[in-house]
Amino acid sequence: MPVSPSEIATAPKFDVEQIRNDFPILHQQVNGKPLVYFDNGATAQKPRQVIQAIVDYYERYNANIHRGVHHLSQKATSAYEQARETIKNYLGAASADQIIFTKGTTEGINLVAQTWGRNYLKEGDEIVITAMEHHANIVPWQMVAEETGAVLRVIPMNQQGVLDLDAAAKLIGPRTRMVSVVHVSNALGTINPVEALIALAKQTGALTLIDGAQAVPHFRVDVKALDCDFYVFSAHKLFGPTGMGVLYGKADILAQIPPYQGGGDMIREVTFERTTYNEPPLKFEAGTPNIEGAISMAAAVNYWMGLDHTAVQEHEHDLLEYGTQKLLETGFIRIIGEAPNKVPVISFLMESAHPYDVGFILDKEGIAVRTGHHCAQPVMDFFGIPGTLRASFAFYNTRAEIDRMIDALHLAKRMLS
Amino acid sequence: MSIAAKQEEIAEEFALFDDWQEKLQLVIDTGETLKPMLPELQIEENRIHGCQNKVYLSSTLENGLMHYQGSSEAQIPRGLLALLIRLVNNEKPEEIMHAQLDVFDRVGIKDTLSMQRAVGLESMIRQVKLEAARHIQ
Repeated sequence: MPVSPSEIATAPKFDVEQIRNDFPILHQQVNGKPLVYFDNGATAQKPRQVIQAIVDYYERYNANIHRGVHHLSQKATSAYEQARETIKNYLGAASADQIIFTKGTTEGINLVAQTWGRNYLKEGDEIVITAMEHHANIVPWQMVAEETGAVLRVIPMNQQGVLDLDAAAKLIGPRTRMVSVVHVSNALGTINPVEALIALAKQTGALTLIDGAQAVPHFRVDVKALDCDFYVFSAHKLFGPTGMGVLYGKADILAQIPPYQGGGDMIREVTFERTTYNEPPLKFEAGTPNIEGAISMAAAVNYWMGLDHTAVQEHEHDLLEYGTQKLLETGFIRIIGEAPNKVPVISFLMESAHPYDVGFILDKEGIAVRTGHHCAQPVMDFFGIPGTLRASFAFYNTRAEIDRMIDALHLAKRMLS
Repeated sequence: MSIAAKQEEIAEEFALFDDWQEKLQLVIDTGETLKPMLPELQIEENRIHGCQNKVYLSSTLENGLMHYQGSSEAQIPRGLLALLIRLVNNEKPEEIMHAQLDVFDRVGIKDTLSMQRAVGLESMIRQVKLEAARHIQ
């Protein structure tokens, strides 16, 4: 909802300068200008605590886990498994055994598609996704649909970027086996009513997978309250390391589905005749895992959990409102995605200018935004555009940075018209 | 005019400007001079991959000389394409293949266009040379 200038005259109280001190990378010049980092939707920056956790691991207790009796191995194993406990508590899961460490959201979805999907889907079964999925929640299902004869169905959205729940209620039916939906759209910022979609799936007995990649950096997720069957996210968007992510799954389903990849750690016993598999979560974690990734992801979660979430949300909401208003005030910006319920992500276009050209000029002014289709080409096709510029804010961003972006957009407008 | 002479000419034009905004503006304005490419040539097989936006290039050989047509939906790549086509149009394919197309480094455009890969300048240069090579056989 638009706000009047008087309502946004002062920013809410939140000591953003103190927070920014935790993020070393933010204090640098890009092209001779102080960096403005508005590409948090692609990857978020890392606080000192996360960087230090990686350094500590390699300086003090690097060793392979789950297989050594020596001191370092035990220390690393204990930190790795403590990380699982941290994620369990963070997500509100019943047991740490339900937390599978992955490379990221994409691998989490592929894991479910390739294990559960390949074994339980058959011809004519339906997988329901939404019109605003990231490619990572489209392609793995298309691949498994091709193999099994299952069919992909898509819940439509409207011009605001809001899902059509009536259509969802009609789409999710007796043939639906999986409802795999994005919690927050990376391209539009829309927060989807996943609770309602999960409820619809439950009525038909379909399983549910929620892609939480863009949700977890902005609000607390409780998998027990959601009662979804799977929840996936990436550490790097949550101020943690790249190449690390989480798949949460319901215990009974994880026990039933076959392993994903074969190798070390996922086995109980191997002979040349036959191999028996470990229990979840290790059943799904073949090979030496990303040990420092798990440990530093836990550091990121601890950092995030240590913030005042009410203040963070107020601050982020202020950035969204302020940014939206300032962009619209220019008179030459069109915002793509105007759902009433959004995270601080603003996709936009500058009149007829190509997003790429605008993004290029913003970069020269030290401002990092994303340009392109944001790995959500069907979303761009729906709006009939090649791509957008996307400013995605984190709690360490400021109104002053938004002002810098607006100035740079005026410059781009002058240069490109 | 030889490719080398055309590179000198372009270098002189850019030398008139000091800051990135003016240089980039010259690139953008040069894009406006690019002759429109026939729509029927803007097809997948003429697309230059490695660019963030859609860039097309095609060529013909007439009387032993290369003639290029190109298009880009974004203005900055369009300007670079226009400069590149100006360098290689009406030149022999052999000369284009062996030319050191380094004017972009020399005039400071490359610094200005720090997003090399995204701009796709290198992909454009490669494609220009591939087209020339295709006509030699």
